[in-house]
Amino acid sequence: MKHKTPKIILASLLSVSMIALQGCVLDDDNSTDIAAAAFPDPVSCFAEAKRQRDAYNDGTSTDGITITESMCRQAFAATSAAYEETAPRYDAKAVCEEESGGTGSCKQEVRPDGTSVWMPLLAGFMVGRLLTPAPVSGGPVLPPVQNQITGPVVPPTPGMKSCDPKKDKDCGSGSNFVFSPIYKSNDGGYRTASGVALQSNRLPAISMKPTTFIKPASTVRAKPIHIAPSKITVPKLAPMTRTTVRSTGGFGGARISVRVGGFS
Amino acid sequence: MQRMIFKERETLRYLAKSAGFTFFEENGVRYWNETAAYRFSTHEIKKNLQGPFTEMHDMIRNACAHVVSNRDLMVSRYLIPENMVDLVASSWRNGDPELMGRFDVIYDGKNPAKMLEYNADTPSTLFEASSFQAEWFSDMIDSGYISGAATQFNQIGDKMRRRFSEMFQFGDNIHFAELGGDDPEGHLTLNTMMNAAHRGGLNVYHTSLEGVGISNTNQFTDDQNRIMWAMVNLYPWEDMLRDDFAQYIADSSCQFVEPPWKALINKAILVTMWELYEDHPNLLPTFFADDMKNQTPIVRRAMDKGYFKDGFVEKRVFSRQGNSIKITDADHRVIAESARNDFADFPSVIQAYVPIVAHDGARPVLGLWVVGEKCVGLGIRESRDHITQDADCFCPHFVLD
Repeated sequence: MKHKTPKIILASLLSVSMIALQGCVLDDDNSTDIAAAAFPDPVSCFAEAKRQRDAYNDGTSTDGITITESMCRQAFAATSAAYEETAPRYDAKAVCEEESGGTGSCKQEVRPDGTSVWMPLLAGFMVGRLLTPAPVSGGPVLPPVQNQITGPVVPPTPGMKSCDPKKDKDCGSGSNFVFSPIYKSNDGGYRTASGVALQSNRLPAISMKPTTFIKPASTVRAKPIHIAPSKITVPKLAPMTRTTVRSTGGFGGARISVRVGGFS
Repeated sequence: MQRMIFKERETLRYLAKSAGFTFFEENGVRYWNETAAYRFSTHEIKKNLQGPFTEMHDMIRNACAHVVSNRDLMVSRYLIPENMVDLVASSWRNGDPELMGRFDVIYDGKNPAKMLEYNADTPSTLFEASSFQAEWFSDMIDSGYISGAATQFNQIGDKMRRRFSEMFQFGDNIHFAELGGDDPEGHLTLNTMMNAAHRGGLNVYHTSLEGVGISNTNQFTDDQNRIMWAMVNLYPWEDMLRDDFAQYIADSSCQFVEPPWKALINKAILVTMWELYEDHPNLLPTFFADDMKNQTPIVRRAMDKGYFKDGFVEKRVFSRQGNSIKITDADHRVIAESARNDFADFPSVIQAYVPIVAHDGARPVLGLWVVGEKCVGLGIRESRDHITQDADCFCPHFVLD
């Protein structure tokens, strides 16, 4: 790899429920790695695309282009749509926040039937292009890429990691990308929708397995994730220190039910 | 489902007195009636009672979610004081945890059980259902009157213990409050809860509700001037929200059990349940009295389907212990009326009347207990009349195939 690659902690360490829910099975096939970058928002993606284009144009870079503005725009649009459809939905705010990096990390959604679910806020997106060629005849056959990878697919050009806009008509078209929503995780880092851990939501292109980009199942109408309260850390109550009392007798005014002298 | 005759234990009087169950009989008439016990099969407990009423609890929660988004509904139909709407709504949205509730249900052993109402705030008969009938059952097994293969559908005490330990941390200090004065029934209920909390690893403190004070930091204090960070109170939310100290609840940093959103669970929720789950086999159609009078479309549908063929039960949005109920037949002639009508100034709901099938002259009402989010136990009350009032008796049960 020519790019500096931050350490990637693979998904086996992450919350098992994420993987189980999405039916994501990591395989060891290294032959179809995808180089994907992570951005917290479209603006930072555009800035990188511009940086790459400028560097290419004035010859300061021989790396070619991995991110284009068009890819940023389309990947973010596709991420937003996938987010709405597949973000994990929890039946309790505390559970969502526990899983997604703490207070304020989740938003509420009211379903048509009136129930509420909580989903983690979108913390960014990954966008990338296929690195290595599809195998030629006689080699192992991969499942059709469009069943796995979230995004429109163009078969990769053999031997190309990046593209040269002067030589490759597809380069810069923005149509041959993969993408993934990014969420905060509960350990201070981030994770892809498929559960792969990321140290940051701002990363230069790093090598990712194609299974990273498998689209999770829709959660829009599914039963929300429920985690029994015993797994949630309940804050300890403060000590019951003695204090100055300014008045008493404000409860028990016998308004309604007490007239009966019993409960139900 | 079968009602069977048993012999009363010789130790009954002693056991009741030492447990503080002083009201086990009144004027020589047994409230705790162990001369009869109901037998159920495992299948009917699981399929006809436990399963549907675990689901029913989920449905109630959905109804709460529905109501909480409608301020007008909360005020006009659910009778939440206007200035308390935000407290109740926030309590729901924050996911304040709930402890328990009791569904009152009629069941004849054949047809789907029908919910009469849900008591989710200060349910009574907790001691009888969780503790005293468990002891009776164990004595019956030991003495050989009931086969060793039998069980009792009663995990109430154990689940309460578990629930307390989930809701709080080991060693937390929890206050239990009830009104002062002599109320052996309330006292026994609160004691049962305190025992469960203590077994769940919490430190439990008792205080009288009238003794609760407000500190200079606007926190609640017990009758020894100590700050309360968590309070389980045996006092209905409809009263709490109307008390002078209600204004301090929101910022008191005191966790209430049951939480404020339980104020939504009065008779009005039966109406919302029918709107959300029309024709559900375990529900009885219930409507606000004015909608009934105006024959709204949903009312007409229920009438046309014959749900009201046996008559109408009028209940007040707030009413307890069989108080303020009137049952009329299809021609609006009175079949039965409560002896007391203390809640007459509250709006009414009208529910389809289904006569309770009598077993040996006794009409059983099943109390299905929910702790956390599962149905975990059963307690049965019997009445001679159509309306189960507080003088009626409690009967134990067992499960044997």
